[in-house]
Amino acid sequence: MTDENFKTKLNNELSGLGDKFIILLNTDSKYYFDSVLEALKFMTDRGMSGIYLAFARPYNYLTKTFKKYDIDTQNLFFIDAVSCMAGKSPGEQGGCVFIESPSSLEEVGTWTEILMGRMGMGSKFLIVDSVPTLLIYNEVGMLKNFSQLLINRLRLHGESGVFASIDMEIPVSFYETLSALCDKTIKV
Amino acid sequence: MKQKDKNILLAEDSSDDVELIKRKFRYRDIEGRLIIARDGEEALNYLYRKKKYSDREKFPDPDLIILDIRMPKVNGIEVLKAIKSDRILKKIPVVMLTISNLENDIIDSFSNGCEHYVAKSVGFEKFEDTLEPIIKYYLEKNRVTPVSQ
Repeated sequence: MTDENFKTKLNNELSGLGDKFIILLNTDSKYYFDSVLEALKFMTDRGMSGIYLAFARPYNYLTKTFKKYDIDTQNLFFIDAVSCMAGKSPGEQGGCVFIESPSSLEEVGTWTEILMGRMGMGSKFLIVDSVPTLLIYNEVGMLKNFSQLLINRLRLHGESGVFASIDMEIPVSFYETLSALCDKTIKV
Repeated sequence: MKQKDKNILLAEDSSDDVELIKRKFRYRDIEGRLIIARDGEEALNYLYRKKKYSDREKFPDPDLIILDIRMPKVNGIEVLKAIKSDRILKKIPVVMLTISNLENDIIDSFSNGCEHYVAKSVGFEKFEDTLEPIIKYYLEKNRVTPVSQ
């Protein structure tokens, strides 16, 4: 699959989903971050506002990259669980909440609730980057519960969600659980 | 492959930090084999099997690479660039280590494809707590999810 082919495939899949969707985006490692960017751009271009859960890359890197890819961050909040591991102090700064580490799942849940509430009306989304990184810092059982809580929350409030993962990087049982909880699994 | 059969290449010029990581391996049930390169050039020699590292059996590809950013001869970012532009080596996860939390270092590291970034300046305990799960994850990892169809 060429770079353009995977983008077309992903965009076709996303376009066929309707207004609200919760998906497991399972990609080949070489397309992973580009797929996340495409999915994010797809949602922000449609005027959706959302939360980017950054477990793999820090906020300052992400915002620079999004600018380069012409992704509008005006209606985007970030929860960054990476920067504190590189010495940043926890707390809220601008459109980002910096939390201690990807193992602080309760804090992630609390801040998700707070930030979603701040967004007001309109279509909202949550994007999780990335599921394999969460596995480094959390037990599978804990992540199953966490994912279920997030997905229940999204369904209750009619919000969309993207759980971004890399093929072959998560245990089968967790993959199957996540896949069953989501409306669709998109493989690129 | 068992954890003890896995290899980690640590490129680090500070003897203190090498000792710290070695100690972690000894006391925290980490069974992988730690290979030390004292600067960026030695790390590249290992990865490209040059000079004393020419024996592939004796010096296998690492399962994880930990790179200090500030190293003599060739710095960590240059080594990272070489790894991530190599068709085979780019699949190996790389953790960048640094004494700083400088924004440029962080952005350079992620822009060039590192998987993780850990600052030594966060204090000994936090440094250990951050690095240990990363090492264990890559040593214990079984690639078992279904292949994309």
